[in-house]
Amino acid sequence: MNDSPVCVAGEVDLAAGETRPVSMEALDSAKRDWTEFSELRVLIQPLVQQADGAALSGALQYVESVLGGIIEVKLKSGRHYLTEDFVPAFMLSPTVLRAFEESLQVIFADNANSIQLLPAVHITWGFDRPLICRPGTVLDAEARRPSDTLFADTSLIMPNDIRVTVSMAGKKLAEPPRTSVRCVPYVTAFRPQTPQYPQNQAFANINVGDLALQNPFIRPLYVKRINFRAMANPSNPDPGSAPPRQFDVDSFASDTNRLKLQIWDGLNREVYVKTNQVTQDNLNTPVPFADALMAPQLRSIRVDDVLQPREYYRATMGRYMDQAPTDGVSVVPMISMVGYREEAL
Amino acid sequence: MRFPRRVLLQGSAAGLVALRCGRTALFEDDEPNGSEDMTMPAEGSVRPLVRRAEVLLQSNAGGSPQALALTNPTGEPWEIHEIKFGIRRETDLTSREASAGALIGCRMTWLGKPVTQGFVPVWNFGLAKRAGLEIQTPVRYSPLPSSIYARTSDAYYGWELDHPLYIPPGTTLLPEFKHSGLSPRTYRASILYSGNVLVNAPRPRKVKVPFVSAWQSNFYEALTETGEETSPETVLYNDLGAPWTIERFIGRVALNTSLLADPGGGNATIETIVDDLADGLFAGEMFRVKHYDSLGNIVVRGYAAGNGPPLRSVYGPRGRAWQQRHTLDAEQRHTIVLFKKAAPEGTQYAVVSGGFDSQTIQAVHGAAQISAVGWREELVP
Repeated sequence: MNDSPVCVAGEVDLAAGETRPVSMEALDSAKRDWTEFSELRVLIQPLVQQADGAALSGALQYVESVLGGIIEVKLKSGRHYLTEDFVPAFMLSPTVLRAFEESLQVIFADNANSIQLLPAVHITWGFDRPLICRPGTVLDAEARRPSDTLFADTSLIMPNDIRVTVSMAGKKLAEPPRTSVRCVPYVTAFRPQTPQYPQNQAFANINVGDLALQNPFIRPLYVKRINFRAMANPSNPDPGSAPPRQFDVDSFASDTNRLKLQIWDGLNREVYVKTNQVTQDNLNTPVPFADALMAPQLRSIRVDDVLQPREYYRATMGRYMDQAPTDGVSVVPMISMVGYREEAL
Repeated sequence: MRFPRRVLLQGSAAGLVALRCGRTALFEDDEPNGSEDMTMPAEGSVRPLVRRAEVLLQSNAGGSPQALALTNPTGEPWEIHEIKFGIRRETDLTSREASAGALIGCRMTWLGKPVTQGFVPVWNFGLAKRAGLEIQTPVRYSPLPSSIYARTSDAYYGWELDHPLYIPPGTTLLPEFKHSGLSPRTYRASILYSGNVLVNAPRPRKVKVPFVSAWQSNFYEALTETGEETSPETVLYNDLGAPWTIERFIGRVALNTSLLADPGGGNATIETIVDDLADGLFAGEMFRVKHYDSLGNIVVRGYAAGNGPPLRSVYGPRGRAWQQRHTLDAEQRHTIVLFKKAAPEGTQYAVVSGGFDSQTIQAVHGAAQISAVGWREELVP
């Protein structure tokens, strides 16, 4: 008797503002088998047309890079949570390559809105340690699509449902594992809900605080990496005007005057503040967010640290405008901490 | 990733080449799927060696490159670490037909023993580590008087072997190509081996020999056609008489797009192969799968009758692969059931822009191509 590969999956369609479980029945494994999973994937794709025949939203052509930010997931295996509440899907893992994350539905069109391409986004979270699951318990997943007033009221701008498919791949174990503990992946993320950004020549900071990147468990948390993403909207979030241009923050990140990042650990030791750049505007100029985003291309830094119970990281994500903004750009930087802890099996 | 000390100490270029082998993880941060061992004889000095050969393939025809070009000319044994495939269109250079791995299949044998189970599409061997770079679009001179420059696209695919493949003196890994017939045009297929020459190395008794099997579904029209089919018993089947360790499944979607006009050839309808970066609605929505093995293990459970998880959610987006090492005993097989759903209501064919001008799509057909890539142990004769 050999181990056998196994992949479980479930999917759900979400309207704006909806939170729904992801086909729990389909996520059940065989009832008598021990399983071990190494990878979780989230596929996010807007549905082409509403059931009522409404045309595609013009906003869809701009959202491909941030679908993973619009959709949030909450994951639990047995009685152990894999996420701290809902986490934007693209905060689960480093960016691998955009070619892997986005696949275009190139053959489909809505000529009335001049949409030629539709995006689908694949998020892959490779676990640092495999997740062992008892028979019958694999994953409880919920997906949420918040109505986002910061970027766009998605119920108005994007009436299309968005389909979320969660799958987990691994193997069915031929024999029960000979271990009394299992490593449970864990992600906690911070996304500002109401950021206060400067309107003119100012430096505004968002403090992540002590709780967002904390080890909430009574056992050590092995932190493997810290991920960064951002969403930007260069037009005012006015549903009645131009469609929101939600996209990734590459263009902003490449401008070192715009997004900054600092990270400390709980003892106030610098984790990610090293920089040679000093400006008269801020003598303690933090690292440009771009560095975290673009190098090493993963939008992630490797940490390999152990957080003891209640220990935490703090971070400040700031935005500086060297001149009065004319485009009303809204930017939401996000940060997440990914690792695992050991739990009794 | 662990490497035996003797390999790490080889030093210089040879050592680096040796280090590449067995790196099945997609990126540096990834742990490989299980521990890696290198059983190849690496005693003594080694030096890198690259061999390459190519063959012209007319539509629906087969051909083999010269074996001599793929043999170590010094007569010493060597080991192959990586195999690369290249596809280049040789006729009608001005058409906008795109190359893709679905066009050419490859069959290989090692010392008379099969490395593939029949022909396998060349993009179904290795991880798509840089999927965005698989298609290259060079600009070439064309002899056509009406067009100084011809635009075409070439396709390149790599396969880093999970274990070095020992090649005894005077022999080689023998490839044979076959044009799928999806295009009426002639293609040039190339194959490249890179590895190490083993100087004064003892002849190994056993080696790990790759083995790949692939299944291709029928082509389905995108918008309206529906269907269900099951992979036959002759593929994804262990007929080796020994355990087959499968490292990964690779899932590709071959898109065959018919355009209404050909910018290079007047108004004739042409066939275009689109690379699978644009597999969107096929892989994510219309192709659904169920997967089980001959021992009764449900590998992927369907949702309900005629439905299952999307192909790309199973055979993952990273590298177009699902990395999961497991062993399939002799005479066992994997079986895949593919459901083709109709496109969601309201979809229609788009206008393809770029290249010479915009083109209206007449029809798009898609087929799933799923392979199992692994190895087994063989005695060296």
